[in-house]
Amino acid sequence: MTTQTETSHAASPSVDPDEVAKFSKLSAEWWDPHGKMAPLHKINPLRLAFIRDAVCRKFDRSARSLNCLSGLRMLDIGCGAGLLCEPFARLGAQVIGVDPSESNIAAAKLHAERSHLSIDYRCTTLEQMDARERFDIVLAMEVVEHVTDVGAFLDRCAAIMKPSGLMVVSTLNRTWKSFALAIVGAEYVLRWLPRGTHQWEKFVTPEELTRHLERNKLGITEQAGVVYSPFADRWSTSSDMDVNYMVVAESLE
Amino acid sequence: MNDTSADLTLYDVAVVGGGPVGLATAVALAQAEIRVALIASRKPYPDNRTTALLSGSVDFLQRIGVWERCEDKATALRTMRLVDDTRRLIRAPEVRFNSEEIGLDTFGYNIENRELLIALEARAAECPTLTRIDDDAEAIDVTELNVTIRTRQGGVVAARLVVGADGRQSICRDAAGIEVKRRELDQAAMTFNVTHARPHHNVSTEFHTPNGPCVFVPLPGNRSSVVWVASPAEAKRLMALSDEQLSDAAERAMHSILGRVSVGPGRHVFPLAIEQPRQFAKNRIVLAGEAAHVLPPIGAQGLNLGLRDASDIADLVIDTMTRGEDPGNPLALAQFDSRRRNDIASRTMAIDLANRSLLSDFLPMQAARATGLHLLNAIRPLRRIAMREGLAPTWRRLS
Ligand SMILES: Cc1cc2nc3c(=O)[nH]c(=O)nc-3n(C[C@H](O)[C@H](O)[C@H](O)COP(=O)(O)OP(=O)(O)OC[C@H]3O[C@@H](n4cnc5c(N)ncnc54)[C@H](O)[C@@H]3O)c2cc1C
Repeated sequence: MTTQTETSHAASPSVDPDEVAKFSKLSAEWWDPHGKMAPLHKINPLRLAFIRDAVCRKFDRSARSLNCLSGLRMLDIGCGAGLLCEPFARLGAQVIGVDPSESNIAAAKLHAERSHLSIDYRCTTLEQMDARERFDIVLAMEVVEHVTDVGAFLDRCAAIMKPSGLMVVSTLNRTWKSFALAIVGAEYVLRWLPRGTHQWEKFVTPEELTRHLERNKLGITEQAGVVYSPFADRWSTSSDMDVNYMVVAESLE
Repeated sequence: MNDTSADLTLYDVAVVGGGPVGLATAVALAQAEIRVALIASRKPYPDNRTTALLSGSVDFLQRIGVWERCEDKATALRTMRLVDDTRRLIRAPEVRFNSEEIGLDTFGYNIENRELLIALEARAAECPTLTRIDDDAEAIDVTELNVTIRTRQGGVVAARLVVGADGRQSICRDAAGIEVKRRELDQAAMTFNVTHARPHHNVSTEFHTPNGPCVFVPLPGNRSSVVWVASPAEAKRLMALSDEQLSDAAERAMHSILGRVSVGPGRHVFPLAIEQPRQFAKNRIVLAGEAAHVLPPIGAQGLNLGLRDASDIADLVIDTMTRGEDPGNPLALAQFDSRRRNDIASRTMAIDLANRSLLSDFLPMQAARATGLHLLNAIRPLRRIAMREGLAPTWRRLS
């Protein structure tokens, strides 16, 4: 994988240029489980299982099947180098991964090709996508804390989701605990992500998320906190949503 | 699946080796619809070894649809009897463990490896996602995203994960770059089967002789399998005996408790060694069975441990793959390594201790642990003797 300096990125109201540049530098390291993204690789099995289980419940599939997502159209917003896209493509989903960073998309395409997976990667933003496209599953994992207008962003997510579909959002909660942990603890101590990838004031509370979703007639049907135990060096789900959390949203009608 | 692979089939998992462990692993994976290539040339089973399958192994074989095919060939082990013939253990000349005492119907079942393999082969043949490649692996090349295996007859197989169940001289282990700690024991195990005049009543008897243990394990009818551990010179001498002389020797060793003994066809000698690889998984290759551990044939641990390898590998691969992940990814391999490490290390240590102390109390220990019961009362005096024998330092040295 080659690292490219970010020269251009799709301009869009919801993408903060500084944020994009920071992530692009990381793209080459995305797939190294012992590299800078090690924490993301560690947390990935948990996120994959959470999303898979929610989708299987919603679409009445067996989570033990190796093909449990077959026929479902899935959009991964802010897909990075494809850490979620590849597993879900293997489970049979038709995956579209979008990311505004060209080097992320380049790294993602390269890796998918070598893994013999066909995934539709697009260097674009949610806002620039064809407004008529529809998806069974919309993933916004660790992105809402990077966008400039959370409300507008979630409106777009809701619009692009089929009425029968499902949305999964994960983010960091804006609490004093997350301030201490995600900024001081997670970023510097746990090396959750390299220094400066998150700004605490942009974190989103579950209440804010709920409000934005309800405006779009979506309700939260499942939620889980994601906690790290430093001694076991393990992530697990928990009812504690003070720092990391994930929610599943579906139509209330 | 969205695989776009063109040139050659990419399997999820390739299992190398068609011994009991390789076959069981392949079946357990294929049963979950994982695409498995089993690289194993068909050859007649080379020896007359039998295996005492402990309850956990039987449960696993049941889950993979194998037990029902060989159950009628297996003999229940209800009583384990240890007889001291060394005149060194003053306190306990004979100890008996009954399975009912710990709330079990049996400790396990003894079966000829040949019969177990027939059942495994038959089950493997009915798994639609299992492809049998009747050939030997010759060269193994690990790359970042998969492993390529070249076979003797020139075939090429690619897989994301390789299970090295290719026995003691594992080439998978070499390909993974895993070193082995090997300790030759100055002992050899001779195996043969006997017919005896009196019924065994499902009692397995271990005679502890100054040379090493001599174990009689029940087979169907008035038959038992014998594993006789002795010095290499003594094993050589026994091997050279005529059937009649060996029958006499065996009968003497067992103090004629089953009456007149006559040996059946086929005997084999296995030099004993303890082998421990430094890792159990590395570079998209996981080790199973004798590739992952060689133990003296005491307390029926070898294949039971191997079947636990198979069961653990299958569980972990299924978990990984039902999340859509690459089953050979480095984190999955690290998880496998740590999961097997404790089990294998503690069992190896225990067997080594038992071998040295001539006290194979580990079979009932194992059974007891399986039901959450304890045999501590029965075992405490044995343990005290073991300590008196000054063998505790052995344990420490190994840990
Ligand atoms: C005397 C004796 C008594 C024992 N008694 C017991 C007992 O009572 N209970 C118990 O649990 N265990 C017992 N064991 C241990 C048990 O027999 C072994 O653990 C078991 O057989 C190991 O199975 P395996 O599948 O790992 O290896 P193996 O049976 O050695 O199988 C390895 C297979 O791999 C194949 N192979 C090798 N290289 C390649 C290649 N390059 N390509 C393709 N195939 C290859 C070989 O042909 C072979 O078929 C005993 C062992 C001995 C020596």
